[in-house]
Parts: sequence; C-alpha cells; structure tokens
Amino acid sequence: MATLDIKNLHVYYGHIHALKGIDLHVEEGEIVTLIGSNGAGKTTTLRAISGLLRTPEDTSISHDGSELTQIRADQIVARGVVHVPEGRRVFSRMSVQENLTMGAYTRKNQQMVKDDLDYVLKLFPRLQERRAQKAGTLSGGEQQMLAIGRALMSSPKVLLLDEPSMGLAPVLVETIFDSIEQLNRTRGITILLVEQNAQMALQVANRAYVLETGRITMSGDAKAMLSDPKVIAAYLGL
Amino acid sequence: MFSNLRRKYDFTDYILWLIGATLLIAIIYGSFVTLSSGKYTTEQWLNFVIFGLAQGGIYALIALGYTMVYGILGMINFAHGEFFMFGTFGAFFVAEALASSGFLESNPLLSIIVMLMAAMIVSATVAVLSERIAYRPLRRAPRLVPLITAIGVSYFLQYTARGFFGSGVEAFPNVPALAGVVQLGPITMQRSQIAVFAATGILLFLLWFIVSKTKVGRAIRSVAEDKDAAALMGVNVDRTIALTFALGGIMAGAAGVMYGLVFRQVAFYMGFVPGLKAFTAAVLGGIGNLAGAVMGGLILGVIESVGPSLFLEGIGIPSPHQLKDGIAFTVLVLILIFRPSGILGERLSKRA
Ligand SMILES: Nc1ncnc2c1ncn2[C@@H]1O[C@H](COP(=O)(O)OP(=O)(O)O)[C@@H](O)[C@H]1O
Ligand SMILES: [Mg+2]
Repeated sequence: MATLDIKNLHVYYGHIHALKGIDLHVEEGEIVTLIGSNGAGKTTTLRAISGLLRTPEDTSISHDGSELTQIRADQIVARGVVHVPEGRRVFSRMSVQENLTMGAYTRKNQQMVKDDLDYVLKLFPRLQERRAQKAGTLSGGEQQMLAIGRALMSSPKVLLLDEPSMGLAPVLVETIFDSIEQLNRTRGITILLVEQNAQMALQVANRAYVLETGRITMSGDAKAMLSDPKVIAAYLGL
Repeated sequence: MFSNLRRKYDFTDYILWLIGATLLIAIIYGSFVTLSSGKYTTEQWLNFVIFGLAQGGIYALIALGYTMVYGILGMINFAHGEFFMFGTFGAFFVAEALASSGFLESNPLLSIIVMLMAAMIVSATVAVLSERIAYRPLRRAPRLVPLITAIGVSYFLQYTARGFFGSGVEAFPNVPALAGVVQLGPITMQRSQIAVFAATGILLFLLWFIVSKTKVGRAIRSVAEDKDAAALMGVNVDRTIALTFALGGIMAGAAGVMYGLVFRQVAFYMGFVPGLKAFTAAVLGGIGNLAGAVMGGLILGVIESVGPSLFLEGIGIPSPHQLKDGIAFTVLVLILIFRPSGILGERLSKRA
C-alpha cells in the first residue's frame, strides 16, 4: 500500500478545469518528483493534497489508507502530511523562533518538539544565528531553510515541497537539495517534490511524473527520464 | 486607488493642506487665547486630562475589537459598537438584580466582577454569532460585501435590542462604593474613574499577554498574516477567527460595564457614537495595530475632553462642549486625508 495514493484528482477554479483526473502514488521512503512547466498544475496538486482546495466526490487522496479529502487542512498536518508552500510563506512579522514554534502547533510531546528544534537548528545553522530576527528580514535562501525547518517541526511522515529552488542562487539550490536528500535518507521522510528545475529534481528523485496542462503525460524512473529524449527536449533545455 | 486622479489635479492637495494649516492655526490661536485669559487653573486642566483618559480607556477597549478584526479579516466591522451595547445591557440587567437584592451595596467588588463577566459573555456571544452567521459565508466575497453586511448587522442588532429592551434610556444602577471622589495631591479623581483605569489596565495587559506570548495569540497572528500558511501549521482558521471576534467582544463588553458605571445610562442606540469614536481611535493609532488602538483611544479621549475648553472656547465658539463629537470626526477626516496609516499602522487604503 502506497503511503500517499491519489486517484482521479480533479480541481476546478470556477470554470477552469485545472487538474483533469490525476493518478499518482508515493511509496514509503521514496522521493518522487512532479515536474512540469509553469501553469501545468503542480501547485494545485499539492494544495489539493494538503486540504487547501476542495475536490469533487469521486476524487480520492489517501494517506496510509485513510482518506484526506474529507478532513480540513489543519487535521491533515496532524496526520503527518506536511506542505512547504510555493514562495516559502514564512510569517514575516514573527521571529524565526516563533515560526519554528508555529510548525509544532499540533504537537503535544514537548520533549520531542525540543529534540526536533535542536535537529533543525543543526541542519540549518543559519537559522540558529538568526533565531531572534523577524522572518521578513531573512534572505530568500534563509527563508526557504526556515520554511523547511518549520515543516520539520510538524514531525512530517510525508513532506510536500513546492519549488524549493525557486529564485535561489545555484549554490543555495545545492544546499537545499542536499538537505532534502539528507531528510529522506537519515530521517526516513517520504518526499513529493514539485520542481521546474527538472535537472536537479530528477537527480535526487527515485521516480518522476510529468504534468502537462492538468494531465500526467509521463511517469517512471527518475534517472531514466534524465536521458529520455522527450524529457530532455521539453524540460532539460539542452 | 485615487493616486492617478490626485496627480492630475494636484491643486486639490494644496487645498487640503490649506484646510489643514487653517485648522492648525485656529487651534494654536484658540489655545493661546484661552491659556492667556487664565480662565482655567492647572488643576482644572489636569482634571480634563484625567476625564479624557478615562473616556479614552473606554474607546481603547472598543477600538481593540475593530483593530483585531481588521487585522485578521481586513474588514471594518461596523457592528462592533453594537457588541458593546449588548454587553452594557447584559451588565445592566445583572446590576439591577444585584442592586435590588442589596448585594451591590454589601459586596461592590464582587458585584462589578460579576457584571464584567456577564457583559463579556454577552458581547462575545453576539460577536461570535455575528461572525458565524453574517460574515463567515462572505469570507471570499469582494471587500465591499462584508462592509455593507456589517452595516446591516449593526442595524439588525440595534433594532433587536430596541425590540427586547425598549426605546427609552434606562438608568444604570448606582454603585455606592464608586460614588464620590478621591484626592490625590492636586488631582481630584472620581472613584469610578479609578475603577476604569484599574480595570482597563488589567485587561490591556491580559490581552497583550495573550496575543504576544501564548499559543492562541501566535495562532491569531499567523492567521492575520497568512491564512493558508496558518492552516498548513495545523491552525484551525475558522475557529481562530471566531476566537478573535470573541476577544474583541470581551473587550467591548468590559467597555460597556465601564460606560455604565461612568455615564450611568443604557439605550439601544448607545453603541453607535462610541463605536464610531473607537473606530476613529483605531484609525488614529493605525488600524490593525493593537498598541495603536490603545494609543489612539487615549489620545482621542484627551483631545475630546481638553479640546472644547482649550481651543474651541478660545476662538469664540459660544457653546464649545456641544461640539465635542465634532472634534472626533474632524480628527477622523484629517487622519484619513493626511496620514491614512495612522500613528503606528499600515495604510488603510491599501487593504480596505
Ligand atoms: N486561484 C486560482 N484561480 C484561478 N485559476 C488558478 C488559480 N490558481 C491556479 N490557477 C490556474 O490553474 C492552473 C495551474 O496552476 P498552478 O497549479 O499554479 O500551476 P504550476 O504550479 O504548475 O505553475 C493555471 O492555469 C493557473 O492559471
Ligand atoms: Mg506552482
């Protein structure tokens, strides 16, 4: 049984049929990437999974066998499906520390929260240095670290990452992708990674899906896709 | 929105500044005339200020509700004055019962606490119900829609109160323990004013503590900043918004008790003017900003209390105290023209 199993996902924005029946699954411990050009529906897919968008009756999104489409976004976080949104969306008027505390909002065990905080601050030492600063004053890269760190404070089983490389300098993209791999390897966190930077995404992922205007057009082994002529022509810009 | 228009007709700016400068000169001239005539003593001025601060504390408590709801929904809740009015009625009925049983006389402190509880519960309930029934279904509607709805809710609540409690003015029971004055050096203070200061101070501290130091407060601030991101942290956004209305209602209910104790009357229309004044205070301090609401309330209270004697009398207006309400609304218009962001806040025009 897949840890995240999406069947027949449709999303409508008014009259716009943004997702036209997507099937996608992520096995426990995998890194799966969803690539596609701007406007393909990647963000919409993640927002539907995390409960920020409503879906029709015949759509099914299940996590470890239980249905997510019937519960609210805040209940989905508590189940361990945690979404790092596009554009980071840190709370700019709160301090770095308060942002991290917000990540642990649903959690009860304060000792485990403290352990996770130590882990996050070790993973991203820059956050440790800027703990008392307002998040709005951080650079783009630091905000991305904070957004991921905040999600880790929610104790995720599945992490949904929406374009973590967006707007970052290449060296920072490396750092962020390294930490994503590390989270997957050392903490066993399952990852669904949405990217326009297909090159980077396919390198870290086990499997990949290609999304075009609301439909999955290709899926399979990530490394194989790196050498697929169609993928190279459309997404690797070589 | 009007920035293009403004640029084209640049002379409107000059006219506005001219009006501003004229008012400023009139205020300075009036104050100068009054002060040099020596009509009021220093003690009298101090008493004006103290009365203004007590009145301003009531404005501040109401203004907090406007500012919190604006902060979390970007909407001006024009029904907020009615939450205050319902709270005052809640306190009024409890006070009547306590007075007729003699408990009010024998146990004034406990009685006031019970009155506060009653008013807070009533105001918070009305606030939460208004949010649930009238505003929540319109959360995704264009901004003008909830604004107009708020005016509808305001009238609905006023006439509901009129239907249940009648259209007359009722006298709020006298609390004997609060009658009379206390002499603090050169300052004469009404006991009821001291009660207002104490209660307002405690409530402001509690609210500050809740918003800035507790988990609930962080949830409120996160929803105010980004509802989707807050939901992704596990915050129940609807419940947090309802809670914000409840907190605003609690503050308005407390203000209702203070109002009853100081002005000793209740009526179905009593929420309207204090509501507008508190809105002015919130805009003056910078809407969306809690400290600004308190500062705006106190400043407005003092301007209203000192202003008529200070500058209106000086420029020769025959019955200056009748113009008290006019001062508040002149202040509102002037801030909206010259500093829409208020003292501490963001621009009103950007979001509303
Ligand atoms: N809030 C919205 N209202 C209307 N249309 C939207 C909204 N959000 C996204 N869309 C449309 O849905 C499609 C998919 O968008 P999105 O999921 O953001 O794509 P991606 O993340 O792949 O760039 C686009 O055509 C976009 O214009
Ligand atoms: Mg996107």
